[in-house]
Amino acid sequence: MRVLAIDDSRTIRDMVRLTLEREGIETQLAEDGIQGLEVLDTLDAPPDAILTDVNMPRLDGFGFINKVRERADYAGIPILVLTTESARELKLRARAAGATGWIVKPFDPARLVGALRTVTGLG
Amino acid sequence: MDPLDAIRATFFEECAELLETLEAGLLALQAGEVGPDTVDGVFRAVHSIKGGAGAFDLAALVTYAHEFETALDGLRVGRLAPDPDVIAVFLRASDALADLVAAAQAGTDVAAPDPAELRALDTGADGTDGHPPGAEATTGFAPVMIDLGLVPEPESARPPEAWEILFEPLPDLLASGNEPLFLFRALEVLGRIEVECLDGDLPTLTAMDPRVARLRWRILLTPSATDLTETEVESIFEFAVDLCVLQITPRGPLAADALTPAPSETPPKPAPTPLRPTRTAASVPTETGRPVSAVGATIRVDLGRVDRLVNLVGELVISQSMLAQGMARAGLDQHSEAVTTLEELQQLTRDMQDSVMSIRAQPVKSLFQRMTRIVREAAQATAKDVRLVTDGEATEIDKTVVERLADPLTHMIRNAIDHGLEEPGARAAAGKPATGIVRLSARQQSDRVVIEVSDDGRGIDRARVLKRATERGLVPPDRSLEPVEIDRLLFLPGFSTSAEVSALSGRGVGMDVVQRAIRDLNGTISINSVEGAGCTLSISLPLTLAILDGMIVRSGRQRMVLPLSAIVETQTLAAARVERLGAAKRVVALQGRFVPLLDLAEAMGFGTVAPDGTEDEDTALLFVEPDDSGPFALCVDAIEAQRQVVIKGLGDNFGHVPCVSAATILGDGQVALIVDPSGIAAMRGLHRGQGAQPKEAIAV
Repeated sequence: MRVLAIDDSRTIRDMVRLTLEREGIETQLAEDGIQGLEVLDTLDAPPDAILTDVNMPRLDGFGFINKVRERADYAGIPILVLTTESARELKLRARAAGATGWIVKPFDPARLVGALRTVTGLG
Repeated sequence: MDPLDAIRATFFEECAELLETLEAGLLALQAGEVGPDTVDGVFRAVHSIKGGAGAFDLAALVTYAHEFETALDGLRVGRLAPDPDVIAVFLRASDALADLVAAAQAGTDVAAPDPAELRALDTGADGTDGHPPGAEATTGFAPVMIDLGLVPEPESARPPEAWEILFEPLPDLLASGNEPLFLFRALEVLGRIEVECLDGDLPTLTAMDPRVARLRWRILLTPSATDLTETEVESIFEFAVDLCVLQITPRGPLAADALTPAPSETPPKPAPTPLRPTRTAASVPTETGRPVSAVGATIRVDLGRVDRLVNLVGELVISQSMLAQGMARAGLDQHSEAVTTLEELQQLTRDMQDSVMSIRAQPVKSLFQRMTRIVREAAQATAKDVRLVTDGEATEIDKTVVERLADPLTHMIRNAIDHGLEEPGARAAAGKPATGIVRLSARQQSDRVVIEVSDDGRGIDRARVLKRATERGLVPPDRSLEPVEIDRLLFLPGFSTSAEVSALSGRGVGMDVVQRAIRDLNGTISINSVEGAGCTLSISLPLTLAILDGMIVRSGRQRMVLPLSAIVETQTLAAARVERLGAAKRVVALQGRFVPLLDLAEAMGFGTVAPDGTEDEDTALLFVEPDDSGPFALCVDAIEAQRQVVIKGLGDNFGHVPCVSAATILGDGQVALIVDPSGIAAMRGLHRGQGAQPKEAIAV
C-alpha cells in the first residue's frame, strides 16, 4: 500500500510515517495542501490513499480535498482526514469537501492502519 | 535511538519553532500588523503544539493549549478584537505555554497555569471545537439512526453463526471515495462472504452517471471467529454509515441459497463490478521509505553531518596551505601553470569555506525574539514601562553561538531593566519619556558580529561602583581610576554577590559570568556608559567557532598561536622599555604604565626565560589584555605570521589543559597549540578579580 500523508506538524508527519512504515506501508509526506498536490503530481501512480490534516497554511485540508476531487484521475482516491477536532460540524465540512473518513488525533496506530486497509481494500 | 524518542525530540524542536512563531505573531498583532495570516499563524502554532502533545500524552500541555486555542479562535472568527489588553493576555498565555513545554521536555512538574484569564476573554465562545480533545469518542460521524423495528439481541445471546448485511449506498457514497468493493474486501478479512448485488434501480446506460451509486447489496458473512460482534461488523462501514442505509441482522447457519431476495428484485449476480480500476500494491514499484521529492526550499540536515563537512573543509584548507608551502620550497616559477592553478584552488577553497560556514549560520532573529519575553517579565517584575527595540535581526552567526548567547543576553537585558532604567518617577524628573527603551542590535563588522544591548537609563553610577569595588578589596583604596576602568570593574568576579543582586537580575550571576560565556565563544565584551543617558554593552564575536584569527609565534622552539582578538599591541623587545623588579620579575612600559612581562615558553611550562644574550632583533613582545585581567606582555622568539587557523579541539582525553584553548594544524602539517591568555593571567595571579593585582602593574 502507498499512502500520501499531509500535515504541517513535523511531529505528526514523523509519527504517521513511523506508524505506517512499521506496517510495510510506503509513505510519502507533504507539509500542506499545496505541497500535497505537488507531490501527487510527481508520483508515477496515484497513492492508494491520502491522509490529510485540516488546519494547515497555504491550502488547508478541505481545500486540498476539493482540489483532488476536481481531478478525474484522483476523484476516487480514499482520503482520510486527520484532525484534532471531533466536532460534528467539522466532520460535515470534511464530508462536504469529499473526505472518505476521518481519524481523530492523537490517533491509535492500529486504528489508523485498520481504517486505511478498510478504505483501500488492501488487507 | 528508539524511533519514538527521536520523534519526541522532533516534537520539542518543533515546539520551540512554534512558540517563536506564536510570539512573533502576537508581537506583530500588538504592533498593529493585523492580518488574517498573522492570526491564522498564531492559531495554528498553538493548534500544532496541542496536536503533537496529544501524541505524547502530555495532558497538561494539551489542556492548556486547548484553552489557548479556543480563546484564539475568538480572534480568528472576529469575536475578539486584537486590542492591547487582549494581546497582553495572549502573550502571558504564550509564556505559560512555553513553560509547560519546557517542563514536559524536562519531565518535571509545573503548576498548571490558570486558564481563567483566557476564558474570560471570549465569553461568547460556543466552541466549534468546544469539547476538550478526546472527550468525544474517536469514532466518526454520529451514525444516522435508522429505526428498523428490530429488537436487539440480548448481550448474553450466543453469537450468531452468520450476519446478513443489507448495504444500500446513498448516491453520494462514491464521491466520498468510499468504494463498496473495498468494504467487501474488508469484510472478507472477518470471514467468508457471499455477495448478492441488487441492481433493480439501474438506469439505462446513456442516462447512467458512474459517480452516482445505484446498486444495493446483500451480503452474508460467515465469520471465521465465532465471537464476532455486530459492532465489529458495523465498524467496517464506519466511514460510510452516513452515506448509506445499513442493516445488519444476525442469522443462524444458512445456506447461500437461503438468502431471500425481495420479490421485485432480479436474480443474484455473482459479484459487484468495481466502478473504477483498482490498483494493487504489486502494480507499483515498491520504494519503501523513499522520502518525498523535495518540494520546499529548505531541507533539514543532521547537525553532525554539517559539522563533518565543516571539519573536512578545515582539513582541505590545511592541506591546501601545505601544498602551497611545498610548491614554494620546490622553487617553481611564479608564472608556472602549477602556481596559477594553485591560486585558483586557494580562491575556491576560501569560497567553499565561506559557503560551508554559512550553512551553520543562523539569523539572530530567533534569539532576539526570545528576549521579548525576558523584557516583558523583567518590566512586570520591576513595575517599569519598557519597550524593546531590535535592530539587525537578519544578521547571521554560527548556530552554536546563537544558542550560547541566550543566557548572557538574558542577564544583560535584565540588568539593563533592573539597574539601568530609572523608576518612572525618576525618568519624569529627568525629562525622559515614561517608557524606557532597551535596544538590542546586531551587525556584522568585517568577520565579526557585534551585538549590543543598550538602555536609555541613568548610566553607571561610577562613584557607587568604585566604592563597592574598594570595599570588596578589588581596587586599592588610594587608587584613582579612569571612568572606563571603573566601568570595567563590573566584570570582576566578586563584584556582585548573590546576596546583593535583586530578585530579578539575581540568581547569583554576575557580569563576570556573562563575560566568561562570551570569552568561551572567542568573543569580547565592552561597556560604554554615559551618565544620565544610558549604558551600552557591546559583544564582539567571531562569525564562526571553527576558524580563529591568530598570530603564529615561535617561542622555546615551539610554534604557538595566539588569538588576535587578545593582542593589543606588538613591539620588538629592542624598542621596548623593560625594567627589572628583583631577580626574576620584569615589567615593560605600555602606554605610560608598566605591565608584567612574561616569557611565553616559560609561562607555558616548556622553556626558561632566555638569558638576555640570546634575545636577538626578532624577539618580540605581544601585549595582551584578556577581558578578566589587567594587561601584560608576552615575550616570544619571533612573530611568524598572522593568519586564520582552523580550530581543532584537544579532545576529551586531554581534559582541561590550563593556558591552552585548542590546537591547530599549520600549513606545514605541524600541530600548534592555541594559547589562552586568560589562562596565563590566571596561572600567574594576574587575575584582577582575585584582588591579586600585582604591584608592578600599578601606574608609576
